[in-house]
Parts: sequence; C-alpha cells; structure tokens
Amino acid sequence: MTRSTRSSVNVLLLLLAGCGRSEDAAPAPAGEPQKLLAEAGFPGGRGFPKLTLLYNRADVHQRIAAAVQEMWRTRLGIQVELQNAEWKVFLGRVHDGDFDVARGAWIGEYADPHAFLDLFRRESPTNPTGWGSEEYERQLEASNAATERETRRAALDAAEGILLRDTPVAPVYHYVAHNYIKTFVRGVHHNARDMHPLQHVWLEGEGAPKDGVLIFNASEEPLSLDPALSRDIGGLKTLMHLFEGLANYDPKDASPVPAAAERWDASPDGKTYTFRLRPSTWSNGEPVTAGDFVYAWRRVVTPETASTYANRMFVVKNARRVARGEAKPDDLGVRATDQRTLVVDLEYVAPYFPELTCLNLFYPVHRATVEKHGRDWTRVENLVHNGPYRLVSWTMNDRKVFEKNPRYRAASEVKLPKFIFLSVPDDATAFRMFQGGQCHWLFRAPLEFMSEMKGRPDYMSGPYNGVYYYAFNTRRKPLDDARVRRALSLAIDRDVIARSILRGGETPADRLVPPPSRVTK
Amino acid sequence: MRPPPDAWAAPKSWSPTELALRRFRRNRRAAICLVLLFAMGAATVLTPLLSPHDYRSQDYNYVQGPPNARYWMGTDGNGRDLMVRTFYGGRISFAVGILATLVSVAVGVTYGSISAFAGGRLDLVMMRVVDVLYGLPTMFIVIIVMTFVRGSFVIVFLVLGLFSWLTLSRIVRGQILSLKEREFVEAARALGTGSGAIIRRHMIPNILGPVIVYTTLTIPSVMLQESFLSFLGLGISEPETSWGVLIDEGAKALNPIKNLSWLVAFPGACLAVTLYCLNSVGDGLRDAFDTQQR
Repeated sequence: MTRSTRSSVNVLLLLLAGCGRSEDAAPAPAGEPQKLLAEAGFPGGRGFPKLTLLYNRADVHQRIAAAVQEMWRTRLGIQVELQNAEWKVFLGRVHDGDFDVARGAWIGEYADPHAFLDLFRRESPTNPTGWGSEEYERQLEASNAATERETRRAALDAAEGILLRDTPVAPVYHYVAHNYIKTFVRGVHHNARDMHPLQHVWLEGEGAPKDGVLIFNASEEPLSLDPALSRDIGGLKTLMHLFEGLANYDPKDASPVPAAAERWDASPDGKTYTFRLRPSTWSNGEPVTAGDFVYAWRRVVTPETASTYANRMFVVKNARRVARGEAKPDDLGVRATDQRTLVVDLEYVAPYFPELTCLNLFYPVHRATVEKHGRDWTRVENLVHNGPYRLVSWTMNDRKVFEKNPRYRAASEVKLPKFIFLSVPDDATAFRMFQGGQCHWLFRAPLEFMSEMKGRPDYMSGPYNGVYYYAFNTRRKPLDDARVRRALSLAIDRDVIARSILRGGETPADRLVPPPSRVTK
Repeated sequence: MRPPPDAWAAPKSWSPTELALRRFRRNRRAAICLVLLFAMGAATVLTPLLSPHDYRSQDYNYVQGPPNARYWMGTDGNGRDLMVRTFYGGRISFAVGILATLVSVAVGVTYGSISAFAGGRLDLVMMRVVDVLYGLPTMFIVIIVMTFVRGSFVIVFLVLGLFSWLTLSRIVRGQILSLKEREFVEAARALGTGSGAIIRRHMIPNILGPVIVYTTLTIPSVMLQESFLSFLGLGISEPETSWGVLIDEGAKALNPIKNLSWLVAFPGACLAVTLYCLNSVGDGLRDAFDTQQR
C-alpha cells in the first residue's frame, strides 16, 4: 500500500485527516551500501522508485521477503512492494522478465561450481536478469577449456568474483535439506542432492500402513512430464521414477551409479564417454536401444522442442550450435555404434558428466510414441517409459499414484510396490497431515517447528547443494546500475535470515556456490 | 401509522426518527455494542499512534514470542509487535468493510429504487441485468478484476463494493413495489401529499430496516472476502495487514507441537467482538426503525 493509501485510511477514519505520519525513519548511519546508493544518485534512497519483490506463495518466501523489505526500507530508505504468485505464474513472470526483484533458487545438478555459475551466462535461459558480461563469459570458457584441475578452479573462482562484483543476483543463504520421514520408512539416507529413488525404500515397523503405500508430499505439481522440458525439482523427482537414465543417484550419497548403462568408460583426454547399455524394455515391451538415447538427446537441443533447460546439455559436442540453429540435430556429438553402445563426444572436459546423465534431460524417450501423439505423449494414457514405476493416475493439484512397472528391467529389486505424490502446497496443512499419519514424508515444514524438530527420530537434515538468491532485473532502471544492486545486496542481513527466520541450520551466503559444490573434483 | 402510547401523553410531537432513536436507546444490548464498536474503532486509530512499536519494525531477538511486558500481544514470525499490527490491521478491515458496504448500499439502493419507480420495460431490463450478474461467480470476477488493476487499497473496497449490491437492489425494489400499493401510501396520495413527502415519510423509513440489516451483514462478509483476496496475494500486501490476514497467518501457525495461540487469539477476538457488535447494533436498529412490528 502506498503513502496515499495509508493516509486515505486515516482520513476515512475521520480522526487523522492530514496528519499522516512521516513515512520513513532516517536511514541508518552511512556505511558501504548507503555510500554506493548515494554514488548512484539516490542519497538516503531519495528519488528511488518503488521496487516490487516477486516470490512464489509459501510462508518461508514471504517471511524472508518481509524481512528484506524492512531491511531495505530502514537501511537504504527504499520502498518495496511484495507480490506473491502461484508457482507456475511465478515461473512464467520470472521467465518473461516481468519483475524488478524476484526470489530464485537453484539446486545444483552436480557437485561443481560450474552447475551454479553456468546459470547466469548471457544466453542461459535460467538467467532472468538480463545481465551479461564479456569477462564472465571468458572465464567460463576458460574453465571449460582447462585440462588442469587448478586452472579450471581458478577460472571458476574468477567468474564467481565477477558475478559477486556485478551482483545481478544477491545470494541469500545456502540450503539445508530437511526431511520429515515417519520412522517406518526405511532405507532413506541424507545426501547433498536430496535425491531419494523410492525403489530402494521399504516400509517396516510400528505404524507402517497396511496397504504398503508410501505417501510423499511433493507440494507442487511438476511443470511437465516431458524429460526434455521439465526443469524443476518436482519434475525430476517424478520423472526419475518413471524413466531411467544412463546413471542414477545412489540412495546413500547421490553419486552416479550405473542404471540403464551397466558401465561407462572415459577416453584418456576425458572428452569421449562410451556407455554400455543393459538390456531393458519400454513399458510397451519394446527394447530400449542406444538409438532411443540419441533420438531423445537430439530432441532436447532441437530448437523446435523449445526446451528452456537445454543449456544443461551444452557440454555435449555441438549442442549449443544445434540449439542456436547453426548445426543440424544430426551433428550432435552422440551416436549409437550398435544397439547397446552409446558414444558421447563432449565439447570440453567435464568430470561431472556421469552425474549429469542422472538428469531428466538425458533420459531416453520412445520415438514412435512421441511422433504419434506430439505434445500429448506425456498424458498418463499415452506415456511410454522405462523406469521402475508407472503413473497409474494423476489428479491435478491432488495426487499422483505410482505403481511398480512390471516391465522394468530390475522389477524384482523394486522394494516399494506403490507410492503416492501429494500436491499440498500449504506447509501447515501438510504438516498436520504428517502428524495425523495421512502423509509419511515431507521435505518442508512450517518454520515455527524448526527448533522443536531437532533430535526427533522422524526428522533428518544435512547440507544441500542449493542456493537461495534474489535476482535483479538489470533491464530496468535503476537496477541497471551495478552500484544499486550491490547496495541492495549488502543491505540484506543474511545472518538474521538464516538464524532468526529459517532456524534450520541454513548458512548465510556470502557467495553463490554452496559448500557441497566448492571442492572441485 | 399508529403513534406509540407515550406520544399521546407527551405534549411535544415526535418525529419517526426521534422515536426510532428512543427505541434504540432502550435496547440495552445494542447500545452497549455501539459503545464497544466505537471503542474498537478508537483503539484501531489510537493504538498505532500511542504504542512505542511501529507496525513494520522487526525484532529478531524475539520472533514468535508469547505476550510479555514489552510486547503485550506477543510477536509474529518476523518479530513484529502483534498488538500494533492487530489494531493497525483493524483500521484496514474497518475501512474496507465500511467503505465497500457504503459503495454497495449506494449502488444497490439507487439501482433498486430506479428500477421500482420506473417500472415497465426499464424495470424488466434492469432486473435481467441483475439476474445475469447473479449468474456470474462473484469471487472469480473480483479476482480477474484485481489481477488487472493490482494492489491498491482503494481498488479492494471499490471492487468488493461494486460486486455485492445485487441482493440489496432486489430487496429495495421489492419493498418499494409493495409499498407503492399499500393503503397508507394511497391514503397519503389521496390527501394530496407530494411525491417527495411520500418518499421521505413513507418509503425511506420503510426500506431503512432491510437496508440496515443488510449493511450490518455485508460489513463482515466484505471483511472476510478481503482476507481471502489478501491470501491470494491480490488484496493487502506486506507489511500492511488486516484482521483477515492476521487470522489467516495465526490459524496456519496453530499446531499440536508448539503453542502459538496468541497469533490467532488476539486478532480473532477483535474480529469476533466487532462482528458481534455489528450484528447487535444492526438488530437494534432494525427493531428501532421497523414500522411494521412493534
């Protein structure tokens, strides 16, 4: 609400006409952020336009946004309007650049600084800020070209330095993975990716449901069930049970372990990988071949697919050129030398490549199904897949029911016969369901209970490869000025957010890359 | 109209309004509630002015703390004083409730009376328009409108007011149509009373009752609609607040593990008292102004 609105409330209450309180206390004594703001032409925040801060609807985002709003008001004298939006609307607005400041977060797909720094390259679809820097591009190219571990790391560090200096994004905190799991859910281990393939999980002990169905609250609906388009964690958590990539996450530490491939070898220069596939079948009974992977990967980078996540495949030779329309899909550096052998040429040395193949972008798809149904191929009744589970039903904004896929190559090793993903976006409701036993597993709970949960047997937490940040829209004035962005970033008291709001062991982020990704492999 | 017995005894003649106010004062419950309502209104204005806390300032050393000597109603999830926020939010709830209702009464009464007095084809068209608007899901339209004209507080009550006059316009039209045929109106007309006097003496006192009842019922419903809109991110936005928003936040914090009941208890109590008083005052006014039942 604006000043005029507030005074209109007063006027209308007939007692305060004309004596609206002065809107702002004087900003805090000048320090680094105040100085930067004054240099940019807004001493004490005077003349600074009202900013909007966009976030998706969840208590934690609202709590943090309200805190940041107040920090910017009292420290910089800047007015901020909070706007919240439903998840898909939020993603759409961020993608279209329809925001001033937006909340953002990224969970690294692999434990490497590159997973985070690559997000904010000029052409990256995950970079909503409009920011681009020659220097930054050069450092990332240098890190890609590097063959020595030390040079690579130095280039990545330099790139991060540029990002922090220019501040298109202000990192706020580094994640901790929280899991609230009923004690009868067995075989779950904390890992830095927070990935838990459910085929390794079983239910046993007091309170275990008699029907053997595990109920997990996924909170949000996935954006898409198409492996080429899905780009959210919810999508990956769904797809990893329907499909199987070359490698999959080890349930203990989320390191890549053989899945659809039985083994892989890297060439001595580290730029060619050869995968040997296991015999396996699609859910319609046809065999999964190396050709299915080739088709799927080409499909990801083909411009017509319009995947906003395809940049994660640019490590594969020629992928960037194909995505830009400068090369044909056939030029992509992947080929099937026989039915069960897949050879991948990389653009540059990427020690994390096997880890990357756990990602939905690298899943195989069934060509005939995609070509027959077009966009509708991911509908429950059309979907052909090769993973441990099949989707029995999907009720939008309610639940998805998964059952063991009898045609899965290792169906006999699947321990959990059936599970349900709920879509309860409200943390408080979900937590009540958890308490009441209508839900067995949450990955988020209301902040109120953080201090009460510690030490409980049904709570598990640990470092998580993710960062929470605020993105600035550098196309808009005055956010096009790096000094303004830096002032805004410096005025965020990250300690307060981590310690007093989150209270779950999250660490204040003085840099972008979270701890699990800092040690370059 | 038969004058009340005491009017015969008194040498002074009483106007219908004076009679109504006398009857209202004798209704003890309504009178007390009116005083309470004024007290609540005064508190919403004065507390934020007199309290040492600002409704926006955050104390991160006392987040979600229970009531104590410093924070009489405790603090919320951002360490803000709940007492100031409750009364500050009350201003907005009151303002939205009263203004939206005024808008809706103004539109509803005007529309209904024009329709009734005009009669014939215009009446038919106007009432079919109301039928069509009835058929549309109100909240859905409000949400669409709010999406296009974002944010402002003025928009909230205008939109809510402009979408809640339908019932009132029908009530007013029905009342006037039946009044037009009543004996006392015909008698007045036969005696040569002018239209203006008939409207003043007969029409207005007779439709006042239903309008007042409707008004007292609309204020709480608008307050609740505002909280729903705010929940969707379309109404009041942080750090501003309203009772609906506070109660929504407080209710979400209720849980079997940790007692955070003050978050919902204080704003809830304020809203409950206000709604109870509004209803009692409404009942009192209806009884006082009702010319049919004595």
